[in-house]
Amino acid sequence: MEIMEKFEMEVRKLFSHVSFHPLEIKLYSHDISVIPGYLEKMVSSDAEVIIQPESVDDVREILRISGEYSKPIVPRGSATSGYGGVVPLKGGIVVDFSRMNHFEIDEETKTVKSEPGAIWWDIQKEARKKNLSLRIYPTSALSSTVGGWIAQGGLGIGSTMFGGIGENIEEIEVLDFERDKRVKKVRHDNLKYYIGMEGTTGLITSSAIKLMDYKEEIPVAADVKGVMEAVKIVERTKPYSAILMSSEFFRMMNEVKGTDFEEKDILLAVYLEKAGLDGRDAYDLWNDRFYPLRIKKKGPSLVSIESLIPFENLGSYYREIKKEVAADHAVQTYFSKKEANVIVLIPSDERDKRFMKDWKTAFKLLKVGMKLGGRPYATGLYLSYLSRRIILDYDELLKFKKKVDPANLLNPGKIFPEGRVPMLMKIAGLVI
Amino acid sequence: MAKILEDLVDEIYACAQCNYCRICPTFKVERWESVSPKGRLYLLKLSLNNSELDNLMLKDFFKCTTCGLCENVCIVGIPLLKLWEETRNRLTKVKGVLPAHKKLADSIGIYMNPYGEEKELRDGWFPEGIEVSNSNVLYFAGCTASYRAKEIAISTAKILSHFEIEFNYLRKDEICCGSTLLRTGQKDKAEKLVERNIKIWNKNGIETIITTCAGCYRTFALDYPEICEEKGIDFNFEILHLSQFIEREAGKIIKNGMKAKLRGKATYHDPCHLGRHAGVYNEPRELIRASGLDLVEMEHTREDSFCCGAGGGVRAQFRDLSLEIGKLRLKEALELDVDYLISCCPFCKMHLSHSKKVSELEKPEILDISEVILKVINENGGVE
Ligand SMILES: Cc1cc2nc3c(=O)[nH]c(=O)nc-3n(C[C@H](O)[C@H](O)[C@H](O)COP(=O)(O)OP(=O)(O)OC[C@H]3O[C@@H](n4cnc5c(N)ncnc54)[C@H](O)[C@@H]3O)c2cc1C
Ligand code: SF4
Ligand code: SF4
Repeated sequence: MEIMEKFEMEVRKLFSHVSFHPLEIKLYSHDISVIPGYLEKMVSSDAEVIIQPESVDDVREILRISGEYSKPIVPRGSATSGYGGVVPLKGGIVVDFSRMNHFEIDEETKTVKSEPGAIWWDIQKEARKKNLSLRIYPTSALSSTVGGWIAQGGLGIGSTMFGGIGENIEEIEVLDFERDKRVKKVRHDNLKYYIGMEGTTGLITSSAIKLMDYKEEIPVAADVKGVMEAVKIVERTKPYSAILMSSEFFRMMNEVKGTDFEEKDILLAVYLEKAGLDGRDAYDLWNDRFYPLRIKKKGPSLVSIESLIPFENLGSYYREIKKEVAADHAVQTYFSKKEANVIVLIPSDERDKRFMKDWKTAFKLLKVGMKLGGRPYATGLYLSYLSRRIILDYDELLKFKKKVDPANLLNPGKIFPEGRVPMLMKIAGLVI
Repeated sequence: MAKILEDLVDEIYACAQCNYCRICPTFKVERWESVSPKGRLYLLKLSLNNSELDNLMLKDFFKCTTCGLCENVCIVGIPLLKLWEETRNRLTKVKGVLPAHKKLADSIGIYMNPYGEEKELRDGWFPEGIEVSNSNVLYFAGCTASYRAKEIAISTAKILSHFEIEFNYLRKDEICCGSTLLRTGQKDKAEKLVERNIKIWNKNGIETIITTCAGCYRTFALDYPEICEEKGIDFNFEILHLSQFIEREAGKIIKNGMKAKLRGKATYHDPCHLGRHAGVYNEPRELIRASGLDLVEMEHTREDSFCCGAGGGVRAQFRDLSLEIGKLRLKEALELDVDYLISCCPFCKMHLSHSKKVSELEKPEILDISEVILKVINENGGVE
């Protein structure tokens, strides 16, 4: 029997939910990103099988057959990330965690213990019933998963007060290739080996996440003149969450949605229990927080550039955006404790020549951001050539990776550059 | 494939792949992206770029109940419902109609109802002793209440008669509204029914049409005007669901004048075609409250309501899937420990009852709003 046939037979025997269907495989071999066609041809690749595990035992079995047949493993939440993290660069097994979506809220310890496929907003809805609340969640909370966001290492709603996801985790459980495949319980300093590591160092099978007592959210909108005024307000009034939205964003929203938002630069600052700022109430903007991509309809494509920039350099970065981005664009800035995620959104059209031009702008902005002490939001597959430069403790992490995954089967090509993709993307960054 | 989708390209490309539409009832049951709105849009995009969709994936396009929930949450605001129906119309042209949907169309062609029941028996439900007048107000019973859920049609006739509302009923001249065909990619066939129905109504001087079926309501209120515009036909009818009509004509009487009230806890299932598609949410709830029942809401309600699983030709072609969706909906009612699950559509009632039967549940009792109104009338010594 051919190896592949044997592999397929064994997979079908072991798991209840698998697909080898070529079109289904296409559906599970990409994320939300759209990159220029010629690059996509070179960097995209299809999985060989999709497996939907239902338990930790299933995940353990996946690791076993991965090792036995040398098939890479690509963990997948809802694939709402956009740096190629879920692209099966070297084929193999896509592990769709959507069926492992149970969670339990412990009111005593104010934590939620969750399987990786649980959806953030499902947790929030249950927490609210118990008068608790997530401290932070991504604006993709309606669909993104616990495992996915932890592995992506993000900032989100609530990060102005509570920082990144890493600061809000008690413990995670992971499986990797090391030793006897017992679940590892990871806490404190060791969390750094997994948070934001995109599944390259282990598969997250469970997480204990900190909750807070629910407090009424009071959204206030304030007109601001420039990003540094927003920074001052954020530093002075210490909101729970803060987002600066550019006048262009509101113009585009009005165009696609027929709304009549004031077309000004507006800081949406959200406080808990008591407003810390005079301004108009902004429940409309707050309720729209899950819809930052509405303006995609203008495109129909959207080129998005996300850079984490230290507060003190935001003014310079905004000036560079003005200088570098000639195309119509909107800016949304999400404030964390000391840095902000600046997202520049350029409505574009992937079927048109301008798409390449807009990508060129994207690469330029990334470089400018790095010069200003910033870094891209993630590296994933596409920006892995930058990992060594922007990830603290890179060498230590690489050493750790080699220890727990000696055959490099855990999401290969992500974070840690490998093969020709890093070179291609680097060249693309230089030439497009 | 690319050619037939030409004018839909911008909508297809607009999908952000955000997966907010994971709440799709079909996806909730099957859990593979090929049946989710997100997955379907990606497949359409692939097919625009010359990937052939195989038959399995094509079939998946018809697992959508056309409930419209995805459109409600879509991050980009793509008019998904329209897109699904349009795509189905195109797919059936090149790939043919699915077997169960073809059977429905054949039955409609011969018997003027999708159930293959004799035309002669259409008015078999009509209660003796009730007068039909040549009023300009028409009661359109629809195929399901005429043949499969007669209690709804009977209750309606009795209610109208009790409130001394003169109404017309076309008996054997009533024909299918065409909803089933419109939802299963057979618009061309439905158009013939539209023309015939309008002709009959005009001949009988009809101005207002009352339906008890959410599917008929949506079709008359939304599809007929659109098709008529395309064909240059005048459409001047007032379309009302029974709940709207009774709330308008007798809501106060039921609330204040009928002293004997019903007892028990009830929840209301918004039929997708009446609620999300047409925006009718309040009148059924007002009537349930007026009847005396204690109304509580399920987790998914009003705009966010969860489909019963029957629509869009899914019950006909994918029975198991439709029942699994029905069970999910029943579960929400069970969590509230209600005595009654009330809806405003014979098809929802029939399907939820079926889902209840296969789940071997005793509670809740599944009722249509017409039965609730009749019950309260009876409590107050009205018609039995
Ligand atoms: C509308 C929208 C809004 C967004 N808002 C935010 C925001 O506010 N903040 C933010 O940080 N990001 C945001 N993002 C980006 C993205 O949503 C987040 O990164 C998200 O949380 C990813 O979750 P996911 O379930 O989709 O993960 P995926 O995209 O499926 O996976 C992300 C990475 O994690 C890995 N992974 C998945 N599951 C596991 C597991 N169990 N174990 C190990 N590795 C795993 C994957 O291989 C991949 O590398 C947004 C995206 C969209 C579309
Ligand atoms: S209309 Fe309903 S069933 Fe159809 S894709 Fe949308 S959510 Fe799913
Ligand atoms: S919600 Fe809309 S944009 Fe998002 S994946 Fe579904 S169809 Fe696409």
